Amino acid sequence: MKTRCCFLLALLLCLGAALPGLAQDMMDYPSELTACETDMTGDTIHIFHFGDLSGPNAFITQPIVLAVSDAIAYWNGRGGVCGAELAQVYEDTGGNLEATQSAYDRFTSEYADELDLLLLYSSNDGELLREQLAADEIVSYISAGSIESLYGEDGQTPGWLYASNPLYINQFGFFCQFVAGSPETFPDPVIAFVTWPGAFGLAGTEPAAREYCGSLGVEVLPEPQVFLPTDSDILTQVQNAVDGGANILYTNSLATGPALLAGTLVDLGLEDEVKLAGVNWVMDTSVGLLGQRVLKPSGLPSVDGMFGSMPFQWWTERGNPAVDFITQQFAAAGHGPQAQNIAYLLSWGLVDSIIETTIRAVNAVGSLDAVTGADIRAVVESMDYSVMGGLYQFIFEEGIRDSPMNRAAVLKFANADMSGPATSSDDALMIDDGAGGKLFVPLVIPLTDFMPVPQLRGQ
Amino acid sequence: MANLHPAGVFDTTYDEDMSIDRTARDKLWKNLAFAALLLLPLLSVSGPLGLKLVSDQYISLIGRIAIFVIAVQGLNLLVGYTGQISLGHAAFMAIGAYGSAILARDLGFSFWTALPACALLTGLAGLVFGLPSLRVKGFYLAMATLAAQFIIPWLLRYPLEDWTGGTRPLSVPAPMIGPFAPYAEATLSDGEPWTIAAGDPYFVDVISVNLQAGAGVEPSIALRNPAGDLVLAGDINMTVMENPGGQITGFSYIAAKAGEYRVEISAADSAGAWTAAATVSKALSFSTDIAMYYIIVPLSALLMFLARNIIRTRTGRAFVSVRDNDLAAELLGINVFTYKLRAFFLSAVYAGVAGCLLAFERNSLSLDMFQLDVSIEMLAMLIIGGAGYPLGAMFGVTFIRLLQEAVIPFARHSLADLLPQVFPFIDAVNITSAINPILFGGALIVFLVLEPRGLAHRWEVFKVAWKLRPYAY
Repeated sequence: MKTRCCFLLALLLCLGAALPGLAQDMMDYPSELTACETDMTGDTIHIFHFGDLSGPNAFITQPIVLAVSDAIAYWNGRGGVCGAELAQVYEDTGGNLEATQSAYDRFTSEYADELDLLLLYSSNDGELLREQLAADEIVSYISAGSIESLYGEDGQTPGWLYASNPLYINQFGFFCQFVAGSPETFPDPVIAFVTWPGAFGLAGTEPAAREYCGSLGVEVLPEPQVFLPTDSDILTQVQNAVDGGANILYTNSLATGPALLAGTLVDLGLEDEVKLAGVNWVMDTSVGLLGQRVLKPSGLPSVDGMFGSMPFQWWTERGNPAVDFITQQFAAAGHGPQAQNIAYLLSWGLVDSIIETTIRAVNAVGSLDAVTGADIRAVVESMDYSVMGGLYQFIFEEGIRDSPMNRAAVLKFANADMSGPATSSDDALMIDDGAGGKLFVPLVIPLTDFMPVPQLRGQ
Repeated sequence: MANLHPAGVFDTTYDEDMSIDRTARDKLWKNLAFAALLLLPLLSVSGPLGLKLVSDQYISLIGRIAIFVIAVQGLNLLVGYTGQISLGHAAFMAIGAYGSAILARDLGFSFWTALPACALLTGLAGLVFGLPSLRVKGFYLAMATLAAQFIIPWLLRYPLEDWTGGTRPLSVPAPMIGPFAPYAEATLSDGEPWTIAAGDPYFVDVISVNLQAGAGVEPSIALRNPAGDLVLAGDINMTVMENPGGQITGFSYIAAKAGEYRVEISAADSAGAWTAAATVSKALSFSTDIAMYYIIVPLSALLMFLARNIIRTRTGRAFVSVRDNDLAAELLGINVFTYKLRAFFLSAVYAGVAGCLLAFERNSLSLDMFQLDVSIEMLAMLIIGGAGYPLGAMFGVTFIRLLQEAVIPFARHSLADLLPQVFPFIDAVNITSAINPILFGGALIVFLVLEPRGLAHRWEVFKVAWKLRPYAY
């Protein structure tokens, strides 16, 4: 499978390279960073981050290191940021909370004077470190945090973590909005959660989300059907959900989870009656590839038509300056194609956010050494910044710790001339997987513009 | 290993034979080591003396080691001395952790009363899951105890969700002694903020406001921290008091950060229809790693000492006889079943204490902290340290934690630069992520091949060689 994935993604890269944008010279950096008022020559801006690089989520998080390395190489190759060199300090925790605590202790001891801004990967780490970050006055950027990590147990107490994606519960509320606004696609909608256990998996199953969706005319079954990341048969869970009256299955799971769910629906012959949806992670490249193990009667992969959130720009949205730039840098770095995922894309954005934040903070206080976590926080809460010229919007008004905007999107597969989605295997673009088989090319198609998400936390 | 004494030292009484520290020198070294351990935080960067001789990271690391030494020592009583294998030890820690957190958060217990209460509670749970030991042993008992590892987290996650938060994390307040008598008092009035200079990480200031308002009057109360930010109700240091109608009647806030705090109360249209009294008291807080160190390390030493003494008692000898040959033990008149249960009880009590300390040290609890891999890791710590040796737990936990948190990170930084050059055909990110598991697994394999009886055995060999010097043979 890995060979097939590699081959497919390599081909995607080749396709990308054929596009006019890449045929030109290397692009300029796509965003206008704030002008430096202080020369930082001789200083080093450290990018601190730690998380699971070898544990269960490694297949998503590993490209973070590559993206940060590429961004650092890019900037240092151009004289740094305001003269300051960039460097990264990171640690692999393997997804173990003991190791997370250890890494945090090590970072705060060894870099006590420099550590004002930290990248985290997972909600669990955010939850563990929430109070410690506040006590140590360290701002943390995270791609998507849980309610508890960003807003505390009561959902109303903002901390020192800032997420670039909307909360999962808000993403679910947004999906209900989308469903309610699309009666032709979703007549008489009844949603059931078929999802992973844990804080991430069960986000959105809270009564507040159910009540909100109910107020929009979208029924949500109260009992989630739970399966483990290691499960290979979830027939019972899917059947229970369908027997409960669900015609939409919603999942908070990664890679194998959505693919297994979609495959089970096809096995049950319910792919036309029951629709699939999930958080932003179901739009990842891995889902598009793993979902090809089971095909629909139309010949398209089982995950074809899966709905999800896309709160940032995606690899396939060519023409967006940030996406074009990152694609070009990715190709130039020559990484293995498995790295072309959400983490790589967002990490470039997070590095850009760190650079912009640092420049603004240094401009405010006069020198890099004088910057404190409180200064960084003050800057973060006053910023309204288009990350890399359009990857996503960095805006955290007072009291808000997650992205307030989202888009609905659908996972499809490219047609033969790459002009849009395929309707069946007959008109789908099929590429050789290098092992005698064929593969479909996944596409993510936005269905709405960026719109505000409902705020459902703490209700 | 023979209990050898230095040349010229002979046991002439039973007390001498039973003594743990046979010579004054033994006692002196032990006390010096303990004193050095207690002095260490004073030399640290964040220590009250500001000496900056020891990194804070190591103070925190020793605290974590000490917590797991307690847990693994409990496992040692069960596995090492009684021969009853358990794969559910992390779940027992979860009972201690969640039990103490709930007692402190929701039932008004202090840390000092929650600790023994949850230890007892965990011991009782240990008794329940020890019942299968009557009928099964060996691998079968391991499977039976594995049930604890599934059932207990499930109970905490679902049926007890209202208390535990289920899959959500649970905040845990820091242990505290006090507050003592107020040293400042004030009567607040409308629109006139009360400013207090307060805050210290160790001797914290507890700011309390009690409000009494007439019917229908709902003044707003606000506390601002030194940064000028509004302190919200969900802040871990804030406790809000409400009357049965849900109206706020006051708050108590633990100020640990030095600076000016400001209390503001106002009722726009009802000035004078309320009264508020504010007080500030000192309290000794254990919210920092250094302060918690002085709870964890002495308690760990005490429990190590108690475990060692248990083994020297009638109960301990019965444990060992059950481990060595349970049929023979029964023929000698030992009630095997009750002694097995006692071992499960004691083992779970130790796990409960460790879980409680972990909860209060972290200030945040999650069920992910008590998964099966933690149980297996503790078993590995015991085997590496030396099952059935008094110091086995200490050696095992220290070895694994130092390997994971000091040796591997140090080696990894060098290897992360070197290995991609040696293996250019492998993606650098794959190499980076493989370094930790490879180094950890490799070290364990090498160690177990070279020292299968555990570090404590090697320590005993070393001690005997030292005592027999220069006539080692």
